[in-house]
Amino acid sequence: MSEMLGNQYFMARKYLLAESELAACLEEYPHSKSIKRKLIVCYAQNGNLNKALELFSSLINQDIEFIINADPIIDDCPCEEIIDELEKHREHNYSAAEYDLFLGIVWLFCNAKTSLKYLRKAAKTLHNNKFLNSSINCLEEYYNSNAQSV
Amino acid sequence: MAVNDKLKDHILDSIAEGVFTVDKDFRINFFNKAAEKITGYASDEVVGKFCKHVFKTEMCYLDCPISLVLKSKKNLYDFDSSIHTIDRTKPIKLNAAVLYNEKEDPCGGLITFRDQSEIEILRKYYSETTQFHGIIGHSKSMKEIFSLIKEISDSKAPVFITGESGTGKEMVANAIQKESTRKKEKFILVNCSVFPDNLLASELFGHVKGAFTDAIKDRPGRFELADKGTIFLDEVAEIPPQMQLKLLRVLQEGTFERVGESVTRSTDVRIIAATNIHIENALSEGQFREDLYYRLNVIPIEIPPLRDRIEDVIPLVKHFLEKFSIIYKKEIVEMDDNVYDILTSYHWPGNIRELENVIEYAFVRSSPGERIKIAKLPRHFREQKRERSVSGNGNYEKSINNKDDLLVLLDKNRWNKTETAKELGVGRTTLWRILKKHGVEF
Repeated sequence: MSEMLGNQYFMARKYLLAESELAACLEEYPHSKSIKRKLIVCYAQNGNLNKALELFSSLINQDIEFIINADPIIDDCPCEEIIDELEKHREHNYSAAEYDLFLGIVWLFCNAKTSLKYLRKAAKTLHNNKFLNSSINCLEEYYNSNAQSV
Repeated sequence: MAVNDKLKDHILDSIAEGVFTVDKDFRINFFNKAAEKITGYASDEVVGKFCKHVFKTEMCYLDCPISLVLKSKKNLYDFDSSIHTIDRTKPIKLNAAVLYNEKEDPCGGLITFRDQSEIEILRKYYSETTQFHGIIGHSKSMKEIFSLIKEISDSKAPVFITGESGTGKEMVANAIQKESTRKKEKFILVNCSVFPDNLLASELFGHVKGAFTDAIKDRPGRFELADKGTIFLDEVAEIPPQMQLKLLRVLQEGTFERVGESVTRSTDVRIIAATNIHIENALSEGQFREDLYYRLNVIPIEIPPLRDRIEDVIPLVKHFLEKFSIIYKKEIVEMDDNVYDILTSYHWPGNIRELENVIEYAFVRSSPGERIKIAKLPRHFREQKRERSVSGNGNYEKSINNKDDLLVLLDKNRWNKTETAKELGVGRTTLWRILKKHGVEF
């Protein structure tokens, strides 16, 4: 396993290969924010929403701005293109709640307010999901303390 | 003495190869002066950016060289690739390596690269100017033939190719057909010397059932088969006189009759003819009809013998080495310099065919990876080398540099330039140049 190889796969948008490399690296470096941020996208893109949410919850509790401030160019964050693709083609196998959860996760890389909107929508169905509730709490707290700037 | 970072940068900036490094996220963190020159990007513009955002090649997504090294754990050398520069995409050759930290984890990558644009241009130029439909010719005389073939591509006029045996008349005929407007039509080759007189007529014009003992059914001839296309009559001077008249009629009227039939048929065929005999002699001795010759000789092409275009020997040798490397599945790409000396001073009576045979002989006798040595050449080449080293070169030098010696030698050879050149071990063109230098013209 190699974080650098995982980074290259992520950069080339080979999410399955990237997930395999980065997941192994995260075991060795469990606090690496950079690995977590990429792995959230990989899990979400590969259809593993539960793992994506668990890691998402972990990272926003650790450093929410690390996601919020991700830049499509500076950080090579693919979320804009993922959202664009998803909204344009609407081809997915998710239920409505999962679809909202997916968008709630990836929107945080672009816009916190929209992310919170989708996560709350997902929570109406998935109200017992502790990682989802924890994420919403964290985001609301951040949103309330940074209401002007969000 | 430890080399500090500033000195390292200075060293890397002083080399001609482009060098850049990336961190583990693939952000560029070093970009040397040569990389700036090759790509047109300033270091300040690209440092901190992801390499894929700078170079923008498909390879970044498909086969990133550093990822190949990460996967294989083997550095890449002379890897063919391309790079997106400020104004265009350039072909490059690159080396790639992964950098490791103290824990032996990959922490970055190093790419060094060379601009191949000029080499590509040269390669293209070389290929265009030395290869023409498979004909290797670097010499002025061959390039003139290539130009002529292109110039006559729209014409359907007959072409008459002359040249010694082994000079590649069939390849020239093939190139004429490939360049012509009839390239998609049939191209029929007939070697007129291989058919007995009685069969040649049947072969060219066809026959009907019962025309002769073995004519068990009607059969079209080559002129019929080649209708709308091109026919190549090799060794045309071997056609017997009575049939020359029939051929003349095809040229003049486009009509003929099958053997044993009185029905006149017509054909629209472009004729390319060739001979290796001295056609003027055949004309003066009445072996070949003058009227036919003038009809065939609308576009004459004379292929010079190899000894008169000795500069083609090396490209031909390289071509044959490549060819035999493929055929024999072993790689031999070079010859010793003294082998080239021998090959370029030989008079090649059998022309390119003889050269090909010599290279094949030496090739099969050599081991993979080694250079071909004199010892691997056929015996008469080795003997030529021995004779030259015993007595030859001294006399050669003396004769070449002394006008009187040269005149004596010419006189001895009855002013035959070919014989004199042969004795001197140089080509006819070289001899002509030397004579001109001495003010001797004839």
